[in-house]
Amino acid sequence: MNAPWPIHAEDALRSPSTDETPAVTITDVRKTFAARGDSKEVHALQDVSLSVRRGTIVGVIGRSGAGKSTLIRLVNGLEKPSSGRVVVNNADITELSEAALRQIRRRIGMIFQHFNLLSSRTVFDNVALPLEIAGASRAEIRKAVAPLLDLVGLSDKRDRYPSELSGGQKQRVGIARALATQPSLLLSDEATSALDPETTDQILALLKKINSELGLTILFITHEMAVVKALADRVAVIESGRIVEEGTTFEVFSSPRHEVTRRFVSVVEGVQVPEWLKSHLKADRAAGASDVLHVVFKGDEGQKLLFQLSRQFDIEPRLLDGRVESIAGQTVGAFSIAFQASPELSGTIVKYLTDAGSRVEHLGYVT
Amino acid sequence: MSPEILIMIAWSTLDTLWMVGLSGLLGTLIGVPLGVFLATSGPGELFAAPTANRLVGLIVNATRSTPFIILVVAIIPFTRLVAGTSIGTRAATVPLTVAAIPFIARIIEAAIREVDQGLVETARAFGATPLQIVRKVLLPEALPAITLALTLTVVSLLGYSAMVGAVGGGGLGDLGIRYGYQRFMPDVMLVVVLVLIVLVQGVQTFGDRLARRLDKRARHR
Repeated sequence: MNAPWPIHAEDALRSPSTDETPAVTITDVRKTFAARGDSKEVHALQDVSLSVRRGTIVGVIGRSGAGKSTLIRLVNGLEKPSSGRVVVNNADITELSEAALRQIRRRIGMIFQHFNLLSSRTVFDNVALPLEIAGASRAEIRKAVAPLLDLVGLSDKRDRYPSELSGGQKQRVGIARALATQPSLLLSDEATSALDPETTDQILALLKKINSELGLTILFITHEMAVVKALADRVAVIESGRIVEEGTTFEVFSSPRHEVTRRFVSVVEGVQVPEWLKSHLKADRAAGASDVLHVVFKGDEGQKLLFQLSRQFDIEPRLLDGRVESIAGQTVGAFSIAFQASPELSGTIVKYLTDAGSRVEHLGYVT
Repeated sequence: MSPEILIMIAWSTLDTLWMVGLSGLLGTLIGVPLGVFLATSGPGELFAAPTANRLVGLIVNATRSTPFIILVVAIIPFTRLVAGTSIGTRAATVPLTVAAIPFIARIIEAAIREVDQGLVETARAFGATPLQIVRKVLLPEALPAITLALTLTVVSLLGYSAMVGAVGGGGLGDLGIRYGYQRFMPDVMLVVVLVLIVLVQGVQTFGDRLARRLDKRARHR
């Protein structure tokens, strides 16, 4: 029943796929869980569409209960949609038989929040599990597992049991196991949510490395914006079973449109005028008052804006708050400033900043 | 105590071990798959067969709620059919096995249900067939619990085997009743009880040690 799985050492480092069809296409998917007992019918997903390009990393962010777990389980058919289509590697998995689905699953890796390692197996045997399932021979397994343990830096732990490992090490085993059958797609279900920040960074770096070196497509779900920021090329924001916003990580971070996204994206939105100043803000301009602006900018050029202002307009802007972040390799930042200027000059400055591509908000005046 | 009595005690001990060993083995061979079936055939589970699940559950419960001494008598025609006789150690293994099967099935079911469902989902995500999930995930992960469960079964069977003595089953129970009780030989009774205590202690200690060795969940030092 199990087709032998050809494993070749030279395949371990593959170049990114050149196939242009998406790795995953989810189209108009609804998922409704039937009413059971006292609980009402649950609409876990409603009209969800999402596409994952090969070789990219896509993150789905949402609060718990937003439907992201259901969404990721659609991709390997652990959940069946109530309606809509899910196409993975050109196969419509909503139409496949359980047996055909199993073959597809053997080419999709998955990692989990609680690692889900078998306590009765050593590190080596845990990594070997998907290969055993796929019907690989002992020799093939031996040949495939060693380089994977090397890749995740756990060669010295091969005969240890999961109970002897730290959380970060367990997730490394989980990653090695997910890569065992050389999948083209990796699903990550809150893979770093049970880890401390430092370990999280190490795991994210490892995932990033796998993506760039092996050309692996990664679809992950998380509730942490920091994870999206560090990992994702594109991000979809899910709320109450609907995708409310989708775009490149940079777009979504630098100009979040939906209210839910704004709450997640505290990076930019978090830069505000300090509380003490807020209480002094007036809506009307009094004599000798300063204008207060909140400016969000993108790109390296934006980092020069503040200094260009003082040179161009002969003002001495006072920096109230500011922050610069690098998201998906691009710069985004925000600052709040106060400066004294005539109403005309103030208008010119706002226009100057807007023309430079920033989002400007005139907050009011302080004396 | 005369040498004849001592030899009788030795033979009875062997009889008991043989009865318990054989019924334990047969009970395990049938009870474990049955327990796996009970644990995996509920609605929405691996081998979902809710009707069969309920039917098997019903039979298991019926057997388990029959007092053992009644069961021994009630299935005498069946015993005669299988063993060719209804008296002696060979015959006694039949009701012992019949009692062991549902007992084992239920505790194996409980042991398997203790396995983290996340592991089952993980194996499914890697494309495992239901049978692979049983073989590679459920049984190995439940093995320490299964070992303890089978230890408990053997201890219970030692007790049951003494009961079949009352209906001519042979073994230590038979010896205790006929000599210790009916012939007023309290020293024989005492030795029988002591041998049973030693057997139970031995089995329990062995089972505990084995389970601990198999359990990789705790940190090893």
